[in-house]
Amino acid sequence: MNYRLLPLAGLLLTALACGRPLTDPVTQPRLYPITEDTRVDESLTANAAMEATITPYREELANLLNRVVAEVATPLTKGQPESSLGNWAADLTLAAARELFPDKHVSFAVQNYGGLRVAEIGAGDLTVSQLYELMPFDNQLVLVEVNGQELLDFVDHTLSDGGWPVSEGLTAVRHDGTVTIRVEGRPVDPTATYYIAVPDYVANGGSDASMLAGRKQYASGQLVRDLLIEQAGRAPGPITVVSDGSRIKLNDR
Amino acid sequence: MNRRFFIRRAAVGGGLLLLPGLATALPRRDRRITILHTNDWHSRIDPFPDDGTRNANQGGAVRRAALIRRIRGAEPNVLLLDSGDVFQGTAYFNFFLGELEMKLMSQMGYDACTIGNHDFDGGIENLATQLKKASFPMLNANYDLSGTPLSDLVAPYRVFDKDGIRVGVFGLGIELEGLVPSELYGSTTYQDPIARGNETALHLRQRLKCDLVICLSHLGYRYRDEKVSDVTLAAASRHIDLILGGHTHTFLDEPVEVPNAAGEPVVINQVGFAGLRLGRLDITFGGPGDRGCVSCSNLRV
Repeated sequence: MNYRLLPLAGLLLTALACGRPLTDPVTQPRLYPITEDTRVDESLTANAAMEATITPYREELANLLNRVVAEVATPLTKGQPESSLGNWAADLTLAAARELFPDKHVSFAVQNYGGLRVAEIGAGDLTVSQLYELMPFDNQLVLVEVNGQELLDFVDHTLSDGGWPVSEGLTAVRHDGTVTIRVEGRPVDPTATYYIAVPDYVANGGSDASMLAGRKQYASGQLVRDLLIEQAGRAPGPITVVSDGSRIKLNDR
Repeated sequence: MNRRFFIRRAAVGGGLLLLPGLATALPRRDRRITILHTNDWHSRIDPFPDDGTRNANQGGAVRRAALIRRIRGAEPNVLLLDSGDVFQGTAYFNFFLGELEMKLMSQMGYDACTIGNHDFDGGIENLATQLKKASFPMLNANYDLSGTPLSDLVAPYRVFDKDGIRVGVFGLGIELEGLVPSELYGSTTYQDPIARGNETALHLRQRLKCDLVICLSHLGYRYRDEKVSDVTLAAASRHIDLILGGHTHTFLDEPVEVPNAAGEPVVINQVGFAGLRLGRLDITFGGPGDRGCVSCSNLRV
């Protein structure tokens, strides 16, 4: 890059942007080396002070957070309408809910899209720390009892929001505005009772899921994150998740 | 004063970054301030884990502090600001409830921040507790906090004097209902950000004679529907010069100009999330009648 040309470009830009002669107050040109690693050329004392503040906190958490829970074979990525990371998190939530509520038939589990807080989990060791970052909120897992119509309204809302992570058991297709929802392969009966597993944040109407607020809830007393850590740790081998679009499809023109 | 701005040049820094300007020295001494800003830090104390993903090894408080320190070494008047959602995102928040974030931001010399929705995640009492550990104010002009633990801790605005340049900074927050569980924000009530924003900006400009009026916003950059955002705020405003935004985690490669109600440009900037970028705007003030120039660089941390 030829830096001598830049002042000229600046002049040109000034003239174009302001439509005024070149009498504006300007800053002196100055070069700041912004390297990839800003630690290298910084004085040690500044870093030492910051590090000294952080170290006791970091050390207190190290044993807990650095524990390896499982191995990820293929990177898990977050996306809409469905994704490998979303399918994985929702399936683990469903597995946990079925264990916690053995006497209820849990149809499926849903996470709010904004509730998954990382874009990707890379291949390799999966640590407790990464699951905290995936799901930092202290939300509890709850079962919500809904009738079929409320279920349809809720799923419709998740589709309007671009598609939320859902577990096996739910398929939803929207084709030019017409929504087709099936639960465990069957059409939804608007008057039947269903149990769905969601974070309490969603069950209480968070992320504009107002159609769930006030419905009967069954508390698990367990944090969604802790359940994910537990369930992820039971993976029989390195984790690979396929997201083939068979759960949520949005075919709008 | 003439408060028309234009954006001179913007770049995402990587390798060398050149601040724009003329090669020939000017005879007149122009006063200049440098605004550095972050948003949606989300408790990212450490750089992203080394796991081969896009942000691996980037960010981190120590690296940001180093960058800030270097810029302070070169610039006479630096204002360091944050647009909310400092809290929530890593286990540091789950276990220490924001204490470390407040300590580090104080150490980095932040001048002010505003309230993001996730800053309520530990409850309003906790936000008050943690704020008492901060050496900088939290600003918000559109939440009525009377009767809450924050009532004496959060001010609508603060005026900074930098080398004779008066900079008015105020904060605006997003609608909390439906976004944050009500037990976390207590009796905080949301007021129209455009009405309160314009009122506050007018007060800063005319009563308090500010040369520059900055809004720290956690409204979000822009939405598909008519929900209030930085863009709609800018378009409806008359006395806001800069909007430093947050909430939508928008990585702007360069700031955006939106004409205000009088047709004058308002500069909006937002630097993604997690402390991956540090926003930088250099603004010069010449003699009376001179326009201020903004040059901007969203630096990689």
